[in-house]
Amino acid sequence: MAVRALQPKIERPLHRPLSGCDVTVIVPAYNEAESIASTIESLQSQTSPPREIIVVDDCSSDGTGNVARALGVTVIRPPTNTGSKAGAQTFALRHVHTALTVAVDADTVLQTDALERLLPAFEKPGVAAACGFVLPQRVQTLWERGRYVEYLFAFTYYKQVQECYGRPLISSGCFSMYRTAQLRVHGGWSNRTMAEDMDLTWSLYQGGNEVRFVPEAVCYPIEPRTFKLMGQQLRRWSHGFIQNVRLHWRGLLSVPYLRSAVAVAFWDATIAAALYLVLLPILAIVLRTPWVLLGYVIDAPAVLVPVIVGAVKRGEIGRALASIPAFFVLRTVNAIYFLRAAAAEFVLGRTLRVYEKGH
Amino acid sequence: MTPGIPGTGIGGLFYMLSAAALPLREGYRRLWSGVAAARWRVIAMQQLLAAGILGGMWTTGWLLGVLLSSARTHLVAGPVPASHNVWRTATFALSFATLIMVVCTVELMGFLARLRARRRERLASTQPTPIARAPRRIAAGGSRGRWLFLLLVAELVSAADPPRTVSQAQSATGRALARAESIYNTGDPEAAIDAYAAVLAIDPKNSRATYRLADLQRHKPARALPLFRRYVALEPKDLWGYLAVADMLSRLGRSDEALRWSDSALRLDPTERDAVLGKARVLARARRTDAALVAYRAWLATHPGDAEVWQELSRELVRAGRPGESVAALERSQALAPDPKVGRRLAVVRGLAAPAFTPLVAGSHDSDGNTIWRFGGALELGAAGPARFGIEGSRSHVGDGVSGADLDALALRTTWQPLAALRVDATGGGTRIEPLRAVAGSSAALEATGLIRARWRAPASRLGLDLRADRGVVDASPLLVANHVMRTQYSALLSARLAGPFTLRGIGKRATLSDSFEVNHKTMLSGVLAVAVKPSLELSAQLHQIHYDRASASGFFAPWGVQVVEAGTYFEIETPGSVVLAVDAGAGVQRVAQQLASQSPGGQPPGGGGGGPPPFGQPPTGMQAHTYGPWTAAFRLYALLDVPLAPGRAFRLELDSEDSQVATTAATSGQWRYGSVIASLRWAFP
Repeated sequence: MAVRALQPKIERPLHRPLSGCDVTVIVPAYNEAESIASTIESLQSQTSPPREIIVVDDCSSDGTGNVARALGVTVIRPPTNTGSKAGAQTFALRHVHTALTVAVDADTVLQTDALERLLPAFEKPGVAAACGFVLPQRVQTLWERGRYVEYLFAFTYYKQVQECYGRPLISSGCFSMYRTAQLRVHGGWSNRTMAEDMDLTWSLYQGGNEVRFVPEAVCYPIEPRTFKLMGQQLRRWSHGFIQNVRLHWRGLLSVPYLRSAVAVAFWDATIAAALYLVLLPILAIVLRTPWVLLGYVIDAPAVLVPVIVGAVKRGEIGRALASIPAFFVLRTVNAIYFLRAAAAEFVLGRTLRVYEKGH
Repeated sequence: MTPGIPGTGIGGLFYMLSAAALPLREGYRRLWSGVAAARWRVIAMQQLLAAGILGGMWTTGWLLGVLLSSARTHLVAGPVPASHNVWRTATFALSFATLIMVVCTVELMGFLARLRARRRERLASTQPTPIARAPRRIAAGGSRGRWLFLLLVAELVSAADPPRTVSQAQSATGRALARAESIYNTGDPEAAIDAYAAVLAIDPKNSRATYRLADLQRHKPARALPLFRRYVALEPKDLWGYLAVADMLSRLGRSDEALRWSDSALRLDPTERDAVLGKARVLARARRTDAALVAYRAWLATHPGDAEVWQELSRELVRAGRPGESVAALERSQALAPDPKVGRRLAVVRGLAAPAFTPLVAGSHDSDGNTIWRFGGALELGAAGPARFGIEGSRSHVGDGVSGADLDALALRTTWQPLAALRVDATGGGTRIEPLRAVAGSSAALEATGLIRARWRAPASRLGLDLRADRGVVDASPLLVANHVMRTQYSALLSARLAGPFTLRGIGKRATLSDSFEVNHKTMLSGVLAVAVKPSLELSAQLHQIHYDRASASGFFAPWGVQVVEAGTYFEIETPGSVVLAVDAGAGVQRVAQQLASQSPGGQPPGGGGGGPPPFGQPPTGMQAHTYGPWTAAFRLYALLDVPLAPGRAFRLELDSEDSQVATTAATSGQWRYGSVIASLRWAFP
């Protein structure tokens, strides 16, 4: 395992309770003039406001930097576009002088106490990263609704279980807090895969660190509104997952529970996706009955349980029920993208290297 | 991001079983570790969800059975043999079997990985450490029953918090490494060093522990270097390993090796910032300032927004004698990323670059009763490029208690430093010698004075050359001033670094001392062998030989020869507040050749009046070889104290004391002692 640090610093033990003074927020932004003001305002109105907010204006052409500057935050601009969110975040890391670093997407707003909720996780020395509950900011289009149900399901059920085992699969890239020293040890966010958050999370585990999921810390990113944008995001995510499995599988074998969770996710993303997309139509043809195609939604009761539980907590049961059909559409599209990514990465040897913005 | 297709496949089942196993896991943790990290409310909620999902799955299977049976009823004539339960059971069994297969495959792979780790452990140590014994016992216990279902349950139960509990599933190395990382994160470097050493005792090829152990000892480069070298052997594709080796070699003063390692890192990734800057820093530390400037500027040409590099460039520009450009670099850095520390540094460098006035007062006294007082000052213009101009002037009074002489000096001066390695200083002007009040008929005179000096230092200080030519009034006594004795001197110093910290210096000087009546020549040859104990401390052995062509004691002491052998030292001390103390001292013995031992009555040396001076190193004809007198003590001291008062303002005090013929240009007698003090205050204009 490579250690990407020339001179990593040894962090001082923190004897006082952590607060916003220990936090620097990095907001990578490329042409985010429309959304970045909301992001910054939500950061400035935190119950435990961060010591510094650094917006990385990644050579935007829409005045993103001016919008951010007008709100009184630090704006830095790399000489050329870094090419990825990971690059922009890592560019900003050298300007961080606090023990903790938060990465927030430029289209994500935080609940007012989100930072305060994450801080206690870092009182334990071994914790290197913590993430929160993610819900779409807007739930209007088919794709946003599909994502809404997917997040409700995953963050109410999968991630909670992972947290109980101390192994959240990913510290979400749209909003996560990190111990700065550990970030530096790992050279920040790597752009060797399309999913820098997963790459970093798994690297942290292999380094003996812990990652925490704090469901009370809620953030609201803007999700892709159109099929084109959703396709770009799914392409990036699916390739990123497969690239990370290829990169980390050997190291993950020493991380209990996570190795099984990753193996199961990999099975579902490849073999199960293939069966899902191919087996049901074949069965329908062989058995000569379209009723078999109901298999695409026949697990709805199993999906509905955690989704309804999550929605009830937020008083959004109507929105959740109305969004359930969109979930099945998104799931099918998701399966297609995962299969394409698996074919490209494993069979055709075409690794995705170009980072495309998803919205 | 949710990999896979949630709800379908084996993911739902996996998490359902995980949730179902949570109470078992918590009980295990409480029993064995006394820790209950997970909240029971969360666990209870997950139980409910698992139960709900189980119900959903049952419904799924039931619906599937109903639908497919219904379809068959329409397609196949006759009774339907298959019941709904068959489909439901088959669906569940298929999912469960698949899940077991996937999980067991991963567990088997993990088990094999642990086996390999244990094999390495056995090879590494035949006497296992306490850290290594524990996993063996656990592994032995684990091997008793390893059938599939229990493996799954064991996986779920034992996925515990790594820093607090011992997991069956983790290897000894993994546990030791996790423990070391945990200690490292608490910020206790000493304990972390022990912990990483323990990891290496188990797994000597663990690259992460190797790197961390080395990194924790960066302040001890000699100790860290072999560890970083080992890390490079383990991770030959990680350029940070190469950079770390280069850094350590550089700190140890092994610049050439450090540069080779930096080049290796650059070859791995020529675009990586740390690789590019790592080499620039090695160059800077090796005092290859010009090459470092090129490296920094090349990086900034493509990355002009890198504030940190602008700061480093600024530092090198100061070293290169270009404070004006250094100011511009720091201003660029501040514009990119304002930083109070850089702001303070900027104020200091602005002070160096700004126009400044430096008043000075000096006083000296020697053992022959000569006293000199000098008042003067220098005005320097602002630094804009490689050249800097100024003007200096002084008024001196030389007295011996009986008579006195006054001198007024005015000169233009310039410093030109086209490269960090090359600096040229030039001063040109005149000195007006006032008429002596005690000497009748004495008249004022204006003498041209000047100096030109060129200093060149090869990269890494391997070779240095200092050439100097100067002309000035010899003002050691009122008599010398009254006689308008001028000294024109040419000198050269060649410095060559030998192996290791040893440096050899050769010095040659040739001076002409003249007045309106006679001319004398002084030749001096010196050899110095110096050893740099530290960058700021040098010890030396010195041998000096001085020869005057015309031995004389009239006006100034000019023996036929002087030999000096001494031990010297030079050191610098800089406090955190940038107060600098530099001391150059020497102590040894000297002996003087008795002059005029057998001079001819005509005042000409034997051998003929038109024969000129004898060859250097040979006594004049008629002079006995034993004309050298006894060895006596020799001593010299020069000390400089520089106290920065504020940005652009600094007080400087220089002390000079001599009891050595080497240290002066013109002693007035054979038993000459001398001491002087110079105080100056540099005041830059804002």
